[in-house]
Amino acid sequence: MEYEINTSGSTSTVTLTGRFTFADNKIFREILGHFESDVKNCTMDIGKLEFIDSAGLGMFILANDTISDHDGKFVLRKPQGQVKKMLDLTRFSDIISVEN
Amino acid sequence: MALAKPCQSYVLCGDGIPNLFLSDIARNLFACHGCEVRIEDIFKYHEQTDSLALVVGGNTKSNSLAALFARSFSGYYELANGNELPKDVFVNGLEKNSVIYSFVTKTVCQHSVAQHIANNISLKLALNQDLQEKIELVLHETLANAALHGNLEIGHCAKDSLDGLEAFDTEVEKKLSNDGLAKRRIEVRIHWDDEILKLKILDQGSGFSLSKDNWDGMPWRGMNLISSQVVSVSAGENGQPLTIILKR
Repeated sequence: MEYEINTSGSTSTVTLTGRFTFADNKIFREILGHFESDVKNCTMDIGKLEFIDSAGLGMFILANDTISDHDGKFVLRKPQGQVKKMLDLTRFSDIISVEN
Repeated sequence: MALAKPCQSYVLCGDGIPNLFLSDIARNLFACHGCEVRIEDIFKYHEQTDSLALVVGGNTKSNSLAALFARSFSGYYELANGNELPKDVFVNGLEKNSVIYSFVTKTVCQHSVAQHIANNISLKLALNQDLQEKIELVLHETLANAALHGNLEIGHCAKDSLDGLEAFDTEVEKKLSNDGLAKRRIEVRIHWDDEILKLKILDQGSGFSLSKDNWDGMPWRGMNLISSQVVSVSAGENGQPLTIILKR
């Protein structure tokens, strides 16, 4: 998985590309490291994410918890294909804000 | 055990492996069964449909991927770190309407094996994208369990914190550096008919219980995801093999 971060004020938009599995846990921990400073809110654009597994879904939960702990808001945006199916199947929008 | 012989002809394929080496394998494995054996290059085999093939690959990424993308074959055995082909276990399972893959744990951990198997089987059987995605997800989750919790013997430690995630990752790296664990095998057997696909996954770990008492209720966890995609999940004694049936 690859990522790109754009920050404006207290909000960062993180664009994820490729496949998101346990193998990407180092990258994801690196991304979450950006939210320990003044940046509180995170929107993850996952429109270019092609595949996600249970570990990837678990890391989204972890991101939501981490950012909520800093009084920030976490949003997943534009899920497509298999990723959208997984979010729908697991009723992720009951836990995390998902914008289609 | 007798070698299954739905065809009288077996083709041994390999990429980048000297034919002399393949000849030795053929002599050892097939001669005693009276089957005709031809040595072919994997890339010349795509259009043949009347024989069963055993693809023997090395442990480099290019070899593995080339073998996995070969369309018309029945088995892929990864030769890694000087491992030899077992005479009875692998070849006896070769039959029509089935594919067998056998990988070392390190390969499963470091390559997108489930993606390649799903691509391969979908091309072979002309499956639709939805079913291909289900196969990939189910294999991805089961292979990860087989590798991490089976062969590498890593417990289900908490990954619901950044520290827990890092500790789990460190444990995986540590276990993979143990050659004895990293070379343990994971086998995937896929059988099909007009109605279903049956996936069987075997590892060399100490087994597990499929009891739902061991699952947590979170819908995004691996076993919950798997069970939501398939007709049935069952397991033999001590969890081996794990058998999963999907509707075509």
